[in-house]
Amino acid sequence: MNKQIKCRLCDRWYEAGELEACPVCAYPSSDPLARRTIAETSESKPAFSIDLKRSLWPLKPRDSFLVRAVKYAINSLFLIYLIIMGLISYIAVAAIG
Amino acid sequence: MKKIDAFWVLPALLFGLHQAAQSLSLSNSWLRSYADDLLVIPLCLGLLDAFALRIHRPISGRRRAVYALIGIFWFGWFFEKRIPESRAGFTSDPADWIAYSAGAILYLAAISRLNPNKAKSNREGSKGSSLRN
Repeated sequence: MNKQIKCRLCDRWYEAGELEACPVCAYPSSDPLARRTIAETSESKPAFSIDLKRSLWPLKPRDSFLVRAVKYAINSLFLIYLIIMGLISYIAVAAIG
Repeated sequence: MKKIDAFWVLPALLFGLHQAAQSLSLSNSWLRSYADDLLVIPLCLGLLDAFALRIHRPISGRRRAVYALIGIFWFGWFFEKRIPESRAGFTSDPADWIAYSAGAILYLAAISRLNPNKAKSNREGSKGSSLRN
């Protein structure tokens, strides 16, 4: 079983072997300052291997690849970034053209 | 208003000033060609960073760099290839790619000074050294 680590930035538990960064805030787990293992904390072990209760749209184990991709795009704010870029592009084209 | 807001307000202000200067015929050819391209990635990333901090989900430096790269490729493809092929009023200039990249690099360099993670690690590092002493 992979080691559970806790993100320094957002206090989220996740498996170190499965993800190289926090699934929500993307703070890298390779950074020694980013991780606190269970042994270092007095908190109990989380019920789920990846605790995404605080995500904007939480992942579920049975989600398909497409749904996971969409949820990850929302949780990582990539969708917001795409919307911002699209809006600015649209305004620029409308203003010039 | 938070300090992070300066990172999108400043590009937006400069963008607006340049548009005003253009309408008053005060802009030169270099600014007309590259000023907007230089400011577009800082504007997008600044808006995203401000939004992310407001909802307490700060973006890490590595993810921000990936987003900057995606932005460079998006604006480069859209404004230097896609639009000039389909619309007569637009021209393609390969040097615009350099302007997009320069804007992204400037933004990443500026925001790294505000990185709370870096500041935190620096604080912890200094605390550790003081404990050792």
